[in-house]
Amino acid sequence: MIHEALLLEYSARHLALMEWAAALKLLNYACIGFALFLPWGVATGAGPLSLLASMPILAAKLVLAGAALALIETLSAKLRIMRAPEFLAAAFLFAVLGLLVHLLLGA
Amino acid sequence: MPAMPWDLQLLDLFAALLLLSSFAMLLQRRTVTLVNILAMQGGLLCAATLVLAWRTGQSHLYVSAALTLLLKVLLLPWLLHRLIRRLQVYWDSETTVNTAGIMLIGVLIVIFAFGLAQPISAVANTAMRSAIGIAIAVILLAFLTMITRGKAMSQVVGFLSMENGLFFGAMSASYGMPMIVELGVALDVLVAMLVLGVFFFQIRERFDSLDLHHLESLREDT
Repeated sequence: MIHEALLLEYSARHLALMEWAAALKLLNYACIGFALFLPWGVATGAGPLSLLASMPILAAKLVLAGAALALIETLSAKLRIMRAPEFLAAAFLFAVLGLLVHLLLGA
Repeated sequence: MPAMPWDLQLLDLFAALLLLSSFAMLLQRRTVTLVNILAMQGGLLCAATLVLAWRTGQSHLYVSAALTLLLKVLLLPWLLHRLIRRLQVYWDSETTVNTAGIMLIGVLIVIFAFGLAQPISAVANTAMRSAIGIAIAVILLAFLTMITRGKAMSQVVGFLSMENGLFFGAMSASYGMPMIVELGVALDVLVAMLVLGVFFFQIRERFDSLDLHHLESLREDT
């Protein structure tokens, strides 16, 4: 998302492998995000029925997340590489604030 | 742990978002976005007041929520936007240095404020006593915003954000101030805004810019 110049050297099946890896990574991160923040509809048991029932919900969540991601990427031009540390610092800030607010409010 | 009633959860959510908007203000570079964040903060404050009024049944809180909506969400941002248009500083942005450092100082301030509020909230008996720490943190973060900014407009936004924090603190510690005090503060803020607007034009006439660092070179005529 920051820049894709690394992929310029590849073509054909190697490019396909790279893209596949990127897609898998995105899927993983999205699923971790769902499990942490939007856990509704996650399979609660290991039975085949509950797993089957959770599939369409996961698919719906992925569709929504894809639309949201497309919206964000359209609205913001590419992130300057010099600003990337700031981005990480903001993530750190969110983590610390979440911890502190949790301690304070006991929510 | 038993689940909290949903209105208290909502209040906690608004309090946390208020803190987050303070940080957004601390780190935002562009002046126009700063004003928009201020309006958003006012909106959060108004929503929190409404939920608190509904929860406690205190009717004067509805009035102060309406006052907040009118003054801090509509009137003040509108005035600021008008000033920005008239001063032609729409694309103005701040050259903040060392954002990560400011962020870390902000986190330290939040820890300090939460520690400071602990004994206060221990003796308070309101529905949202734990949010006093957040109110203090918002006030101190607004101070930090004013300290780190050089432009006059950003300093005014920091000042107004401090007023938001004070209001939130009064609300969470004792269900708001008496009506007459609230009206007085609202009028004060409005008048201060108008006077500062005049100051902006004066400063710009004198220095051709709204950068307050120019004020440091002023000397008394001998």
